[in-house]
Amino acid sequence: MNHETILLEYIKQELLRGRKSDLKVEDDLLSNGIIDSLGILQLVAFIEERFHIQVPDEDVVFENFQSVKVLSDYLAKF
Amino acid sequence: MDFSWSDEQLAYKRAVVGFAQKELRNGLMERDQKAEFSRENWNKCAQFGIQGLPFPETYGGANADILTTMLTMEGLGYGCADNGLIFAINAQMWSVQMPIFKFGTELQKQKYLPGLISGQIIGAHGMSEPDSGSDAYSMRTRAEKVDRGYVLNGSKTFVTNAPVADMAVVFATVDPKRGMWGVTGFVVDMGTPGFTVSRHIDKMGLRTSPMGELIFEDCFLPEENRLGPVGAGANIFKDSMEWERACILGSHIGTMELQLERSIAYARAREQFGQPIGKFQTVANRIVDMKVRLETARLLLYKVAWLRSQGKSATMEAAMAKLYLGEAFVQSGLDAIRTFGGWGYMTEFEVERDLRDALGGVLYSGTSDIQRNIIARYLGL
Repeated sequence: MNHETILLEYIKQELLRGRKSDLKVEDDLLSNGIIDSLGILQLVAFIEERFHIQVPDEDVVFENFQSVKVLSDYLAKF
Repeated sequence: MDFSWSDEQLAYKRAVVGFAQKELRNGLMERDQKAEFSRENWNKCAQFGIQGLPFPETYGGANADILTTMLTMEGLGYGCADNGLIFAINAQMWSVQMPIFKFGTELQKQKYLPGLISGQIIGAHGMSEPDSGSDAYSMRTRAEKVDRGYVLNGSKTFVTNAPVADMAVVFATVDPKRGMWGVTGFVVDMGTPGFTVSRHIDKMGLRTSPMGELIFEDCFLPEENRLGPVGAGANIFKDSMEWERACILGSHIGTMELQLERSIAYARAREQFGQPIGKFQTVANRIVDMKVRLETARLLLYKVAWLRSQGKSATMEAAMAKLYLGEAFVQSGLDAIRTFGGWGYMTEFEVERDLRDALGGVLYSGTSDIQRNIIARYLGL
């Protein structure tokens, strides 16, 4: 599975818990309040554990976490 | 699994305890009553190397790892008794020095770190606002982008060190609609037009640590005063809190150990009904609970520090440590007072001050309620 699929599944199952089962990779996760500040911490921890990618603190910004697609593109740089 | 400390680490801790007992206890009761900060003791700590402990030698630090730093704070908590001073030092180390070191430009590091570490200047950290405490990212302080910089308007409250600070790390939002993603960090010097420090805030405990408010009225800050990327402020703040929680809690362990030792000594010496009060099970059991609480708290904290030293994420573990140690410190203070009886309630016995100081620990750096929220979320609730 690629980053996009894994992230999408994690967000749907662990962070949304059925609240938005039709989440798409292009959906805005942040402006629409799909993920809150605590959810971001969980997501970063998941990325570290699942992909063995250490996300630098200064990279945890809107531009890199806005959607699953944007986040996947960002992670592809590692 | 290895729980042992190196001889070097233990020797340093002993040195810190000796230094604190000899140099930092002078006139504490009077300073506590007057809510007086000791710049002299602050400078002594800086000269001893406390403020610079985990920072590189380039900036005047000692390059110590997090475990050694935490152990040092434990020694300081045991030897110092001035919880307010320790709190003020920790506030600067983790909420001012660390974000500048981790997220600042080389110019910002060169400008501030040597002075902060040597004690020449003091730093404050502004996050909380009159209307945003636990919901920190709903802040109202605004940073409006203008040509060559930002204009800040708003206020920060409960700012430790504010009345004595030479500079501050502050957070403002560049766009309130973005929530946490608009929060951005800045460094600001005292004397900057539009930036003022208001009244000294008096408080129940930690009275020797000064606290005040920061006011921004059309305060222009050039681009080079921004700390880290635009919108990274929330994560900078989170990083500071994780460091602060681990190390300020280390000093709690030291103080709780001292409370335990004093309670044991008193229960052995104080006689009622013809025998030492420690022979009564009610008293002995209370002291046993203090010991068990101390050791479990220590294990939780060491695990957080170890995880951090391994570069691992420790959000839930840090929340558990903060919750447990904050509450344990309060309970330890209550148990010590109960053991000392009426004498423990008297200021001159220097037992009650720790309880007043401990109560702040269930509020600052994230309240116990917020820590429970974090843990619940990680449990999938």
